[in-house]
Amino acid sequence: MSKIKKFFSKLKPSKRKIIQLYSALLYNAYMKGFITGEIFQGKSKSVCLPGLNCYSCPGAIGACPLGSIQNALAESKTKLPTYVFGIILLYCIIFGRTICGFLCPVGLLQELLYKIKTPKVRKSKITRCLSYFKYVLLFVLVIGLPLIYSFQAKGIPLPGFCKYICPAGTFEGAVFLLMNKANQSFFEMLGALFTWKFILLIIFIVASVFIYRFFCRFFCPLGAIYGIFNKLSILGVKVDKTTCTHCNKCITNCKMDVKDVGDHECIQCGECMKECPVKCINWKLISKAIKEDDETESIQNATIDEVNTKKVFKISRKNFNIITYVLMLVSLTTVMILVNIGPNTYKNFDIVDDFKITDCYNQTFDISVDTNATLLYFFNDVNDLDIQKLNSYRDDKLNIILLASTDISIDSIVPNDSNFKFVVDVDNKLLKKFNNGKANSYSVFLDFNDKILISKVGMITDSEYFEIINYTLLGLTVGNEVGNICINQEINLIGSDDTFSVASNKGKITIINFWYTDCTPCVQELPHFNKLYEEYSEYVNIIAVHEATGYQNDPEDVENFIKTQFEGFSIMFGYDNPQSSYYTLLGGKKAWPVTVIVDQDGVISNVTHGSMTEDDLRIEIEKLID
Amino acid sequence: MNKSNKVNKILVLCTSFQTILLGIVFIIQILRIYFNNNQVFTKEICTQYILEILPVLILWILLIIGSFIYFNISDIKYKNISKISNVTKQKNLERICPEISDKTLKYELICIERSKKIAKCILIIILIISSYMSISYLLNTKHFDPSGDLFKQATLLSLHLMPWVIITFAAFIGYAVFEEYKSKKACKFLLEIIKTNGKVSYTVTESKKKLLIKNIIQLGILCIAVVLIIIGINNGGANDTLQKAINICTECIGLG
Repeated sequence: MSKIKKFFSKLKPSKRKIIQLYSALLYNAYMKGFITGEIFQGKSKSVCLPGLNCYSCPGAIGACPLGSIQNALAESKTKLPTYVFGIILLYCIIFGRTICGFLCPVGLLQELLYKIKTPKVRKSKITRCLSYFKYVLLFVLVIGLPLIYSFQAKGIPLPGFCKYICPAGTFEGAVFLLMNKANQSFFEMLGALFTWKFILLIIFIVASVFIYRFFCRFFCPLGAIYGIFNKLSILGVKVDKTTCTHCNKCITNCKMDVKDVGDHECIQCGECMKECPVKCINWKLISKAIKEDDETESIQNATIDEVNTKKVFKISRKNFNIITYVLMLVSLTTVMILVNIGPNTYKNFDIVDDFKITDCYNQTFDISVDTNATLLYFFNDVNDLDIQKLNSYRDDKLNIILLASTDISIDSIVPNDSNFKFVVDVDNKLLKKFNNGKANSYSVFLDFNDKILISKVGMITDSEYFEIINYTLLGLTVGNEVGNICINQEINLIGSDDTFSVASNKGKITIINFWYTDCTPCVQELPHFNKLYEEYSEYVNIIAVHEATGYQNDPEDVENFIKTQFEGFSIMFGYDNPQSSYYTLLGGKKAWPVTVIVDQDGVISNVTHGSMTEDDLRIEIEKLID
Repeated sequence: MNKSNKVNKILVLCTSFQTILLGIVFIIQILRIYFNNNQVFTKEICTQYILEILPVLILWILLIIGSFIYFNISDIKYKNISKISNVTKQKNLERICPEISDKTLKYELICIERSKKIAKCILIIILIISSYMSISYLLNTKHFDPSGDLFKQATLLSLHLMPWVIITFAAFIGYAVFEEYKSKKACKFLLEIIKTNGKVSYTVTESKKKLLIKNIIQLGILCIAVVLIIIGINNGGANDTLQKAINICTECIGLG
C-alpha cells in the first residue's frame, strides 16, 4: 500500500505545475475553437496575455504579447505603441520573470518534455553565453525588423520573430488549425516558410528533452524583456542577505543560467527554496501575508499590545492554498462558460435542420420535410413589410414565410396559400436561430437542400432575388465553391459612392481579392494583381476588398494606406460589409489573403487561400480567356 | 586574481592579433615595393608606401595606448589599498578573524572578477570589430592616396574612422572608470573586515532609504504603465491589437 502511495505521490503535480496548467487552460479557454477550427473573435483579444501564446491558436482568448509588440512597432510611424508597451510594462513590474516560471504554457511544455528520462545537458559557461542570444533576437527581430520596415517609404508590417522563429505559432496555431477538417483550404498555403518553421519546432521539442527550457533560455525575447525588470518586480523570489551563508547551493542546483537568485536569468520558480539549507529564500510580498507554522505559537502567546504593534493578522499557508485553488477554479470555470457557451446561430451555408412552425391558420410546417426553397422574412412592424414585393417573388417552388415578433393582424392581407405563411414569432425565438434577435427586419433564404444562401438584415434586394433566388429556383447551384454560380453582393468602392458586383460584371472575368492593411502577404501580392490588370484590362476586372471591421474602425487610415502604398494603381478598391461579410460568404476563414476568380458567366473557377504569385494568376486568367 | 589572468590573456592575445595584422600589412607593402618597383628599396619609395598605411599605424598606436591605460587603471586603486597579495591578505584575515570562513574573501574576489569578465569580453569584441573595419577600409588604397591632397584625405579618413575609434576609447575608459568604482567599493568593505577583526556583518544590508527608492521606482513604473495603457486605449491601440488578434496571422503560423 505504501508503495502505491509513494508511486502516486511522485505523480502528484507540484503547486507550480498546477498554476502553469491553470494558466495554459485559461489562455486557451475557447474550447469550441478546437472543434470548429475557428479562432476566437471576442473583445478579450484586445488584452495581451502575460505568457507566450499565439493569438492564432483556435483556443486563444487573448493576444500574444510578442506579436502585439511587433505589430505595434510596425505601425509606430503613424501611431505610438503606447497600449502594448503599457501592458508589457505592467506585467514586467508586477511579475518580472515569474511569468516564465508560472504563467507560460510554452515553459510548461518544455518542463514536461524535460521529464523524459534521458541524459541531460548541464548548464555551463557556454550556456551562460548562449543565454544572451535571446537579447540579440529581441533587438533584431522583435524591435529592429518591424521598425526598419515601418519607417521605409512603403513600409510593410513584418513581425520578424513570429514569422521566422516562434514555435508557439507553428504548434498552437498551424498544427491545431490544420488538424481540423474545416480548414482543409489552408493546406494550399503551405510552403517553404512552413517547412522551415516546422523543422525549427521539431528542433525545439527534441532539444527540450535534453536541455532544460531550451527555448526559454536561449531564444525567448519575451523572457529577455521580463528579465530586465526581474530585480525590480513586485512579485518573485528574494534572498534574505542577513542570514545567507553564500554556500551557493541555490545557484549550483538551479537549472537556469543564473549567477544570483533573482537576476535576469532567474525564472522565479522558487525551486531554490528547497535547496537552501538556512531557508533564507522567500517569496516577495506573499511571504509577508502568510504565517508559517512556527509563528503560530508566538502569535498565540502574544499580548494584545504585541498583537497591535506586530500586526500579526496573517493568513495560514493552508488557508492561503485553499483560497488560491478555489479562486483559480472559479475563474477558469467562469471564463470557459462565458467564452464557450453562447447562442448557436446558423451561418451562411449551414443546413437548417430544426425549423418547425405553426402558422396563423394552425397549420404546422417543417422546413426539413418540405422540398421547396424557403424565404423567411422576420419583421417587427407592418411598415417593414413590403407585401407587394414579396408577392412578386411568388413561385410554386418557393415557400414564403413571414414571421412577426408580435401578433399583428395581417392575416387579411396574407392569403391562405400553401406557399405563403404568416407566423407569430414570440420573443423572437426563431429569429435568434439566425441572428441575435435585435434586427428590425431580417431575411433568410434556404435552397432546396435547406442550405442558407442569404442571411441578412433587411429585405432582399432585387439584385439578390435575381442573382441568387431566381438561379436557385431555376435549378442552378449558387454558392462559394468552384463550379457554383458566384453568390452575388454589392461591394462599396473606397473613395466613391459607386458599387461593384460580380453580376454587373458579366462578360468579363472578375477577380476578387480579400485583403487588409496589416496583412503582409496581402500587401505584397497586390502589385502583381495591378500589373496583370494593366495587361489584361480588356478581359478582366479586379477588385481588392478590404476587411470589414478594419475599414469601419478607421476608414481614413485605410484610405491613406492605399494612397501611399498603392499609388497609381488601376485596380478597384472596395470595403466589405460588416453586417454581411462577402469574405465570409465566399468561404473566408479569417485567414488572408483570399482570391476568388469568377469567369465571364459568373461561375467560380478558382478559389485560392493564401498568396498567389504572378505566374499562377496569369495562368488562371489565360485559361479563362481561352 | 587567478581567474582574471585568463581574461587578461585573451585581451593580450587580441592586442597581439592586431599587431600581427599590422605586421601583415607591412609585409604586403614590402612585397608591393618588391614587385612594383623592381626590388628597389629607396628612401622615397619606402616613405611613400609607409605613408599609405599611416592611418593603420596611428590607429594601432592609439589602441595599444588604450589597452595600456585599461590594464592599469582598473587595478590601480585595488593595489593601493593593500600592497600585499591576495593570498597573504586571505591568510591575515583568517588569522585575525577565524570566524569568517575563507569563502568570505573568495566570494568578494569572485564578485569583483565576474563583473570584469563580461565587460572585458565586450571590449575585446569592440576592439576586434573596430580594428577589422579600420584596416579593411584602409587597405583599399582608393581611400588613401599619398600623392593626393593629404589634408583632405586625412579629414575624410577621420570622419570614417573616428566613430570607431571613439567607440573603442569610450568603451575602454568608461569600463575602466566603472571598474574603479566597483573595486573601490569592494576594497572598502574588505578593509572594514580587517579593521573590525571580522565583526562587520558580511552582507551589505539594504538601507531603508534604498528600499524606499526601490518602492518609489516600482510605483512610478506602475503608474507609467497605467497611463500608457489609458493613452493607448484612447488613441485606438487596443482596437488595433484586437483587429490583429481576431484574424489568423498566416505569417505567424508559417502559412503566409
